[in-house]
Amino acid sequence: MENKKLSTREIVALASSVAIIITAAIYWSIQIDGVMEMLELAYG
Amino acid sequence: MDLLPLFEWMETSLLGQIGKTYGGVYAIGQSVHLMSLALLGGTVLVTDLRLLNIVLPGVSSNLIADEAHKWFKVALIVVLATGIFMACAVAVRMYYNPFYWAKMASLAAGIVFVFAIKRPLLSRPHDELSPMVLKVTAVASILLWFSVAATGRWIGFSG
Amino acid sequence: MYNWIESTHVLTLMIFLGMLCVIDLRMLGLTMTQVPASKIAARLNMPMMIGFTVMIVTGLLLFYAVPERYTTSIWFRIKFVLLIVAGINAWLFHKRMNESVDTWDNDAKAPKRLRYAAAGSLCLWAGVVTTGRLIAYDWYDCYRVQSDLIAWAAGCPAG
Repeated sequence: MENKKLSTREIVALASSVAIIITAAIYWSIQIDGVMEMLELAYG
Repeated sequence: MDLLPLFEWMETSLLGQIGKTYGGVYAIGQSVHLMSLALLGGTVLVTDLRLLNIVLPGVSSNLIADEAHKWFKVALIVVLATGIFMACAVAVRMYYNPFYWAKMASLAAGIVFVFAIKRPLLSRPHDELSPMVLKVTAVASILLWFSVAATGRWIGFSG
Repeated sequence: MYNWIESTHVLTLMIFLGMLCVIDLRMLGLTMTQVPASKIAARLNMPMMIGFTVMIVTGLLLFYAVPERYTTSIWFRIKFVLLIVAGINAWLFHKRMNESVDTWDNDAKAPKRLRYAAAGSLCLWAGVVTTGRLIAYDWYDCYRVQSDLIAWAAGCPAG
């Protein structure tokens, strides 16, 4: 990456964005998992 | 803290009564909710896709972010107003619906994210900001608002 | 599965209608007035058409799930008419825009006729969303329809 240091705003934004992306990924993978299970139960 | 009394009160409030009694008014509320959701999604997508360099690469991203934010605020107010109206009519059912709470959590996160993090960041000249940070923020923003809308849709299926 | 297709249909609304709103608002001189109108229209067309395609595909799938319910739904029929009118409006809009864009591209507002078309497009799509939402309600479904006019408009089977 570039040498320029990130400002506080950028660091806060980066940290919270990464947190959001990870939370969303976990949440949706759990949801999708649930649906897959249901489909398996329904159709085998 | 138990919020159940609040939801019971919402259901007996005037808004709740209207939403329960007049199906037509409720349906129009839902439609307005959907349309402002579309506008909200549009402004979020235009900004974020611009930050990801997918649309309008020739136009200043500062300009797009600022202009889109004006309409984002309008859309957000309408979405919230119609959303509260809809929730009032089925408040107690919402209280027991896990997707409702997932939606409220992501909505709260979305509002905080926009006003406390994204706007302060984007109000700076974008060429002074790290492109990587801008892109990660854009992806987070799309995901977050997508989650708000998707969990919202799911409330209807799980009721 | 129906739920998933329905959700995709509704969520794509954010992409398609969102982009449409931004384009129409630009034509009305309400946003991004510093950016040439044709640029906004041309660049946002792509995500809009992607959204539109997804909506058509998921819409058709929804239709084939329960065709007899939809064909006898008065809301579905109104929605279809509105879609056709919106399509004609969009086609005329594009034609006129491409003919005259050189003369006003950098103006804040599009010429009057195009502004009407843009406002018309917003109203038509608002109608499409509303009638689409109303399909889910059964107030005017054939089994409870009393009026002959509605029964005719909805194409209810006789008897």
